[in-house]
Amino acid sequence: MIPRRILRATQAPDGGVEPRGKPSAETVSPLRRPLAWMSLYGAMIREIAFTDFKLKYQGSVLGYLWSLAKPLMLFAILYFVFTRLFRLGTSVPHYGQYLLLGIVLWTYFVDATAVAMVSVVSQRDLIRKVYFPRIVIPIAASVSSLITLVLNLVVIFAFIVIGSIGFQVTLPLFLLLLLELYIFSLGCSLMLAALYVRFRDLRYIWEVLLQLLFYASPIIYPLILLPKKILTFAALNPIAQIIEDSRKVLITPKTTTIAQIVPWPFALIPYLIPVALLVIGYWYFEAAAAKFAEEL
Amino acid sequence: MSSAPAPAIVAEDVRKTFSIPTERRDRLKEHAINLFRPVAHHQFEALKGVSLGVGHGEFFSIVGHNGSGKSTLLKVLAGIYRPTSGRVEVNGRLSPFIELGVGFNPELSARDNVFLNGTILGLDRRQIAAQFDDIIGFAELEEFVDLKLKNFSSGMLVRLAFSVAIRAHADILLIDEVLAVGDANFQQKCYDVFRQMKADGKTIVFVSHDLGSVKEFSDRVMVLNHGSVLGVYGPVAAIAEYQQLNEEKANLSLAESGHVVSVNGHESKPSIRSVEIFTSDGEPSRVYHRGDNLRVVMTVENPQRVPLHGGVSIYRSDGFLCFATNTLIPELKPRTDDVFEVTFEDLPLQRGSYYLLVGLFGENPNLVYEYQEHVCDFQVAQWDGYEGLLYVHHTWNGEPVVGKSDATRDHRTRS
Repeated sequence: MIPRRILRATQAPDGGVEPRGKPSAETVSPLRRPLAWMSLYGAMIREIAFTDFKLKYQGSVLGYLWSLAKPLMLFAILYFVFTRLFRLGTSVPHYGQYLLLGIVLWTYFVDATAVAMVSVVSQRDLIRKVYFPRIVIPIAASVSSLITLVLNLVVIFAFIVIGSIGFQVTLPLFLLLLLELYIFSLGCSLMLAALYVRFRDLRYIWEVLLQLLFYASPIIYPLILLPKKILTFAALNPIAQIIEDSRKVLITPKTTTIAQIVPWPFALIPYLIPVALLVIGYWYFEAAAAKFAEEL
Repeated sequence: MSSAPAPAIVAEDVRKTFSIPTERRDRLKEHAINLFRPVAHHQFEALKGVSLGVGHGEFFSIVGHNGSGKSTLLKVLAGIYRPTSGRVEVNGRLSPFIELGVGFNPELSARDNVFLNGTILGLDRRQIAAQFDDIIGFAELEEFVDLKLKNFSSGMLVRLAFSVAIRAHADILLIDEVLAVGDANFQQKCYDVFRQMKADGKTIVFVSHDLGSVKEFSDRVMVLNHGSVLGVYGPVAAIAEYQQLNEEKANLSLAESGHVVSVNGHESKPSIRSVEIFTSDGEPSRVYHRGDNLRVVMTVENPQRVPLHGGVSIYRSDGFLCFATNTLIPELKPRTDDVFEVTFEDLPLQRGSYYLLVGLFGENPNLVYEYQEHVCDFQVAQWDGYEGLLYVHHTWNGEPVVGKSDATRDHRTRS
């Protein structure tokens, strides 16, 4: 997962030692490098992520419950609007679960990218005074949002049980979709975090783009309800693909997925975008990271 | 890794140039508006080709004025800045910290911060948990473990930060100005830790303005001036060199301020004509005995009758400042005549060579008319076995050995 360039020791071009208090990542075999890297910096990522999570809900009476309340409130509003006022939901089986799953996955994407975008800037003290691979910071931000996602998924599973839908045999595939969502968010996050160092109004631009993406993605509606003209185009969006695939493996196999809309080789596009974005995001972040200490 | 013992740190011709934009554009909007008008940058050369080698187990200090590039160099060595050109090689585990308390979060308790800071140092939770009591104990914060850091005093923060930072499993430590803070008692503890690190064979690169600690610990000292290496010396010579640099700087300001006076006074600014030293019995002399009075007479040329203050400093021959005084400190009126005279009563110096530095300045002490360094070399001759810089009057309990009279033990009596 973690490309080997991260493992390069800063100082020693001829194979010196990783400047950390643990065995050098340079000396282990190439296959085990990501593992060595994680053992070097995993503790740091985890500690920063949990600290962020803890601080986010500190000082509020409900504490961690807030992380659950936010998507649930959005769910309650949208559910009321689309089943009582517009009747859109009534034509979709298990609309409640459909909607909640979409909202939870979407909330993760919004949270993760928003937190990660400002992460490098808000940790400027650390970056200016301490050496460590800068990528630790946006990764920690994405992990911190992951904690919220896990808590929210518990609620979804409760709803699935309450709605007596029963679990599909395809349930394990959901983990792969979560991984894809994580990769997609991380790719965007790396890009945004590095750009935000230079362009501080990116935050507002990103908010507008997210609004657009919210309505362009099948969160409140099933993908199939879109007009034919834009359906193909909308189906190429990885968020749409992830949400629809998740609905298929978790709620009902009757969900229309990308494969049924877009012909075969093109159907791969939404699956490839997250990976491509991660590679580009990683490359861009690493290129920009060398100058963070001076620019912040 | 090669079997030959490579130096801990090698830097070759390291240059660092900062490109500082003359206007700040950190919004996409501003970039869009000014698409065809690129921002002008001015170049600042912080390091102009610095080379150094630090051996394993060495205590290497870097001194220099503010802006001489000390901190930039340390950041380049730490990998925080990438050098513009040149090469840095580090052989050994480098502590990632160059400053204390970085990464502390005021909203978290001391306990949480220790874990957070520890992981930045490269420790994992288990290793930190094992040392947790030691960390808190060393920082003397047992009662405040669960207090949020925002309620800590600055002294408490520094103690906690130092206590965590020294747990790094590193062979090479880069330390920037840590001892400027903390009370005397804790500073002493820090010094003890330094001694222990030296004894453990750790390599330390130390940047400080505190010449006392630089002198006490360093094996070698590098003097940086405006981004270039002035030289690498033993601690005593380096401090002399650094102080000379300070004096050159002072002379520069003298030249500038002197110029102003000469415009009004046609080259008749005040100057030092002569400096002489006398023993208590009024004889000019170059050899003193401890306990003597030392009288310094500075005659000045002051045709304009400008109000003047004078100063005299006593240096040991290696450049160590023993004592400095001037007429401003005891709040004396400035003089308009031409003789400054100061008597050092009962000179407590030990045997050795000393010299004086004298200065002449106006009512505003920043207006320096003249400095003269290395005037009036003199010796303190008497040696009776006591060691150190000063003779401190003291009394032991106990009986003198039979046959020795009181007079021979009285150090004020000249033999």
